[in-house]
Amino acid sequence: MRKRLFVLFSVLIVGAMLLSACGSGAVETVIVEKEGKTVVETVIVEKEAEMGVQPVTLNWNYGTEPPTVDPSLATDTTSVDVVANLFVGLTTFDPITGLVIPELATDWEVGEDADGNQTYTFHLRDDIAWVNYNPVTGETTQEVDADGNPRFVNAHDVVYGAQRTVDPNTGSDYAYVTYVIKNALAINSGDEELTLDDLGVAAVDDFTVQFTLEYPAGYFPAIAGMWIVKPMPAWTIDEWGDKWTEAGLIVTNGPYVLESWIHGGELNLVKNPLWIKADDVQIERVEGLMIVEASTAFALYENNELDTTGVPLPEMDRVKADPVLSAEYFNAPDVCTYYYGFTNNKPPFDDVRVRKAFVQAIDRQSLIDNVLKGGQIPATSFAPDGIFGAPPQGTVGLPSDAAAAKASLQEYLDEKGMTIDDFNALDIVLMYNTSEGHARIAAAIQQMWADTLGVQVRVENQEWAVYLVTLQNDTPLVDMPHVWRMGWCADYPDENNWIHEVFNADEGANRLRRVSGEFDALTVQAGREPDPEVRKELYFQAEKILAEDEVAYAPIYVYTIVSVTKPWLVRNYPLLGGNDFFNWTIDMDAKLAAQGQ
Amino acid sequence: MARYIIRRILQFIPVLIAVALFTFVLMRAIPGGPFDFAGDRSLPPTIVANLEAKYHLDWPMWKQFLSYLIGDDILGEEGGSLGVIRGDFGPSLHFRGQQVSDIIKTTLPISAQLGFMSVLLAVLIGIPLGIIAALNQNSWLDYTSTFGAVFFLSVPNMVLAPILIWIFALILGWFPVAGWGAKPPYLLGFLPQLDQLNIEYFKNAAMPVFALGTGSAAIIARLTRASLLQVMGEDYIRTARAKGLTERVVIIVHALKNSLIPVVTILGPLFAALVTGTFIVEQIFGINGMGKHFITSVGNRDYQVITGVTLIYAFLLVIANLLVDITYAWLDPRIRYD
Amino acid sequence: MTVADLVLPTTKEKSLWQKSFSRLLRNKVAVVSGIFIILMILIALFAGKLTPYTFAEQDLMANNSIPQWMLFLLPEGAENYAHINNDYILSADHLGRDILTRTIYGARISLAIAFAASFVDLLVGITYGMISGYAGGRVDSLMMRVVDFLYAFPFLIVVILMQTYFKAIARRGGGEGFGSAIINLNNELGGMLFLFIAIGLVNWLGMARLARGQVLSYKRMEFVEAARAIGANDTRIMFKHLLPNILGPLIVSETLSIPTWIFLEAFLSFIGLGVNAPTPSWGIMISEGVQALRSYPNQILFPAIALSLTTLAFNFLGDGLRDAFDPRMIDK
Repeated sequence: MRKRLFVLFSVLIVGAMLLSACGSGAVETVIVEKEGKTVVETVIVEKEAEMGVQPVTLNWNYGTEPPTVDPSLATDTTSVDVVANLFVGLTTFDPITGLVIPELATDWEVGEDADGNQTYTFHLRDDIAWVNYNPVTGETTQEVDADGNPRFVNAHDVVYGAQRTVDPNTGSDYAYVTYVIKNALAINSGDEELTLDDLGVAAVDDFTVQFTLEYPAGYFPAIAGMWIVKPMPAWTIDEWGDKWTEAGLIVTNGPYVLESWIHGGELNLVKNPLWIKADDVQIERVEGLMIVEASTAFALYENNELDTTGVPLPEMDRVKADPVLSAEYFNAPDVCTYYYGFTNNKPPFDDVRVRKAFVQAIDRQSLIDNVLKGGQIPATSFAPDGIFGAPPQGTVGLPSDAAAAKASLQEYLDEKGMTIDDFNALDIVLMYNTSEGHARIAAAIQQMWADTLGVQVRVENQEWAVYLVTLQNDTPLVDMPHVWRMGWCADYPDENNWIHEVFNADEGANRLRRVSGEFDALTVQAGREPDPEVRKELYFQAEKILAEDEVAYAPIYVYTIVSVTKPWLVRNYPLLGGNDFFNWTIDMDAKLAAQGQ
Repeated sequence: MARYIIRRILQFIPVLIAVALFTFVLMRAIPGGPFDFAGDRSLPPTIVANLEAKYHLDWPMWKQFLSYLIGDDILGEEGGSLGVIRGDFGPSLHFRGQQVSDIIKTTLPISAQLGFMSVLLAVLIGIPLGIIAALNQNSWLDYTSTFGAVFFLSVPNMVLAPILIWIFALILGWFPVAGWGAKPPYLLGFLPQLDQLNIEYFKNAAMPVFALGTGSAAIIARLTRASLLQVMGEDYIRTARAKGLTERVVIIVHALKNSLIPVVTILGPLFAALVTGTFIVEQIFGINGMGKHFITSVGNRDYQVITGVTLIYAFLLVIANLLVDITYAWLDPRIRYD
Repeated sequence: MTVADLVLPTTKEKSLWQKSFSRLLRNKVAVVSGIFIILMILIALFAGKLTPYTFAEQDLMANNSIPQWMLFLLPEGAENYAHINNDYILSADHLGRDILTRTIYGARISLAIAFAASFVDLLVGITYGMISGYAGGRVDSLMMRVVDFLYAFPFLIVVILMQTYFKAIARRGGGEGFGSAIINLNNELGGMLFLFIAIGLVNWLGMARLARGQVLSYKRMEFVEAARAIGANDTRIMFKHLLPNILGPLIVSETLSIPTWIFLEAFLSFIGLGVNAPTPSWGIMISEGVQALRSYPNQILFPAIALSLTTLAFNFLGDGLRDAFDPRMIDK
């Protein structure tokens, strides 16, 4: 009888679904103002019959839900990607050379103010419109102010954006990058005596904005292009608060507008017809999925449902051997470096010979060829190509050399009167944050150390958040692992962001727990130095000291972006600034033909 | 019975509060907070302090918990929280600008649709299979169905799902690789819109439901078989046969009802197992369900999301268990609730 | 059968067990399964003697190699990218580690977790459920609310907590005594000891509910009343009379749960909370193999087969046990 009931129950459900009359329209969500309150309404929209022409569409995978598209709050690459296509900045990065080029600003001058602080004065163009996309009508219209005047991006918006990021109430993660601006650190720390207007940014007139800096910084134009100081629409943010980035409410000024965003599901962009260079934007629609699983994304790609995607590591061999896929495969350098850090004050890694042995025992090329397989670049120093001041990889630092490694360790053991077993009794720990990729690399390197040096290293992994807590400077030495895995990607393309902010013992993170010395003085000096050539020389020296003399860490490789791309998509791989969909092109006829339409 | 049900509903409340409290406290006990890091880098203490102040993480724990439950205005504090009792689960700490209740409203219906269809599949396949096996005990039918059941049992979701994609989506092209047919806004808050409920919807649903449902079907088949065998040996079955009733009547009218008790029992924990199951299936098929939030919010230290999602799950679980207990009484008149 | 048969255990009991055991032996499938499981255990224990390599031994140059005969298992076009290397009987994984060796060593973790979790499940779960169902009323209510609470509990948080705190202790370890013995055992098991404990703590719930349901059904039957009339106390009734009658579905459910424990370990490996490298377990081999499914399906095949066979064996054995110990079938 229970079975009968169950069958009946199911029939009823299915029947209820089928029997109800269907409306002929699509159902949409619209945000509507009603009696001064915001209301989300469901509206049935009669769609017009679709014309036969398909817009030029890019099928993209973000890989994960972007935590935000608010420029002040963005931190991860997915958010930055979207922000880069929705909002303009004072400057941006040339997709090929990586150099700073003007965007909102037409040009800028360096100067000094009355108190001797360095200033940057940017002159802005006056024709970039603030626009809003209406999901119901599908139209993009320019914003107008209370008097009916059309809104263009101006200096006040730039000031507002910077102030908002520095405002402690906003809760911006990346605000620390702005600390180079006068009073930014103080305001962000909640200093009672200062207000937002005391921040070193002001609108000289409607289309000129001046930044006053705490100390001279040659890299400031790069920072001026970062998403956190992009101009933002004050009126929209005041009206909608946290919700201002939802589709339909958001006001943007870039090549694309936000058409729809189903959180966790999809994020779609459409071309902004009012963009200053709208004629150059060939891709009219970007449909973005959020497929986390790399193998599924790859399957979608093979099924022609994604135009480009990464190659999952286990599939690398097959892809490179397959006639079709190997032609679509490409790897481009990325501005990220993978390294193992040493805890420089924890024995036996307080001795440079031990560190030297562990660094040189890593066979980087074998790792890249057999484990990583993505054409990564072996790294012997920290910052990669494309970062201002970085020596080319391979010119500075210690190369892989098994014999030298063994000799170095032996020298240490002999002096201390230890055997290799005594050394192993110290229980050396290598730690990494939990991930399939890091696990493989750790397993491979663990074996390299065992084979070359005879050292037995214990491998441990921790979940990311816990890991970062473990590596903090105040963690007791007994809890610190001897060797730990880390990576670093560029915020802005300057060595200041690399060896200074990461390794400097006084002003940087200093997880390496080094004692301050010549290296640290050099990086501080280079940060303040106005002459670019002198800066380069200083950074060269600094990298040399850290990698060759102190051997404070083990650089391993520079990341690459590994991807397969369908032949109808022409894309680039900008080092900085996020994926620029507005520069890519798609041959829509070829794409539709391949999809069988 | 009615009094029993009311008593059970009242008992929900302390259980749910206990779940919320423990989740609240334990999450904060794990090292690492939601704002300690952004991507690869640790954030400086100033920034962390700003963020914690913004989300009231610097309040004492009891205050945070009360604010979460009953709201800030009752507490007499500045803040926008209305409290869980008024349906406000707070803002997400990781997904800035999104409310946890919105996240739940978007993702729970999809997981519910997926889960419901899987359980339906499991029951529709499992029970008949178990009956056949029990009635033909130790015959080749029995062994075959056991073998089949165990085969699906011993292939984990994470293996079955990619295999299904490979064979049925890539090679045969019968089903789409990934995705789900229903998008918000939903009908009645959790059903797919009627115009979305087309053949595409079922094509999208086919592989995930199969991947999730077959393991459960196997369990149900095995349990039904064991339980039915147990019941068939009972005295009252012997009596029924002795009375001269046909075998069919004996089984359907007498044996089946009682033998379903263990099956109904596990429908409760089955629901629980679906949570870890849906995470894998949702991730592999790219389905925007609630499962992922159970896992990712712990890694992100998104206290609000994990507490909200756990509460919803606990709520559904206690209701499911209540329904199971009520069904017991209906299935077996010998069961009485005092 | 008379009432006397039910409540005079001493003489009957010995022959009851013997009878049941001989019934079990007559069930050929169950016997084969039992032998298989014993074999598995032996292989796991003596893994060192049986394996051609050690489980950590890796040869990066030989990554993903397969022996010649295995080529047919791979998809079309595999000749273009597969490294052929006949030194590895069952092929090598992505770091050049022998899969046969790792599968054999993997049995240790998987069997350990199956037995440990089953043990806790049966012991704690059945007892708890029986008491709850038999007691009824408020006690039952309270006990079931505790179960509800534990069910809803975010298990993952507990796992992460245990992992972090115990690993921290483990790192400070290296002393003598009981504490460090536990820590060494933990390292042997790839860091999973505390995980097993966590799994045990949470996973007896299903069994408890099942046992409770069965007891609810059976406790009002005549033989229980009869036993009470004779003067048997509650414990005796529960364990000597009720338990044998309800054991059937419980045993089967337990054998059904065994793959669940192993999958739980695989799931945790999938999300990164499983065994430490390089300790192998079927779970981690399967989750690593899934990524390589389209290119190297052989890598997932062998741990998956091992898992399936073990699950099958436990299931058939469980069925056999159920049939053998069914009190009603004793006389047949």
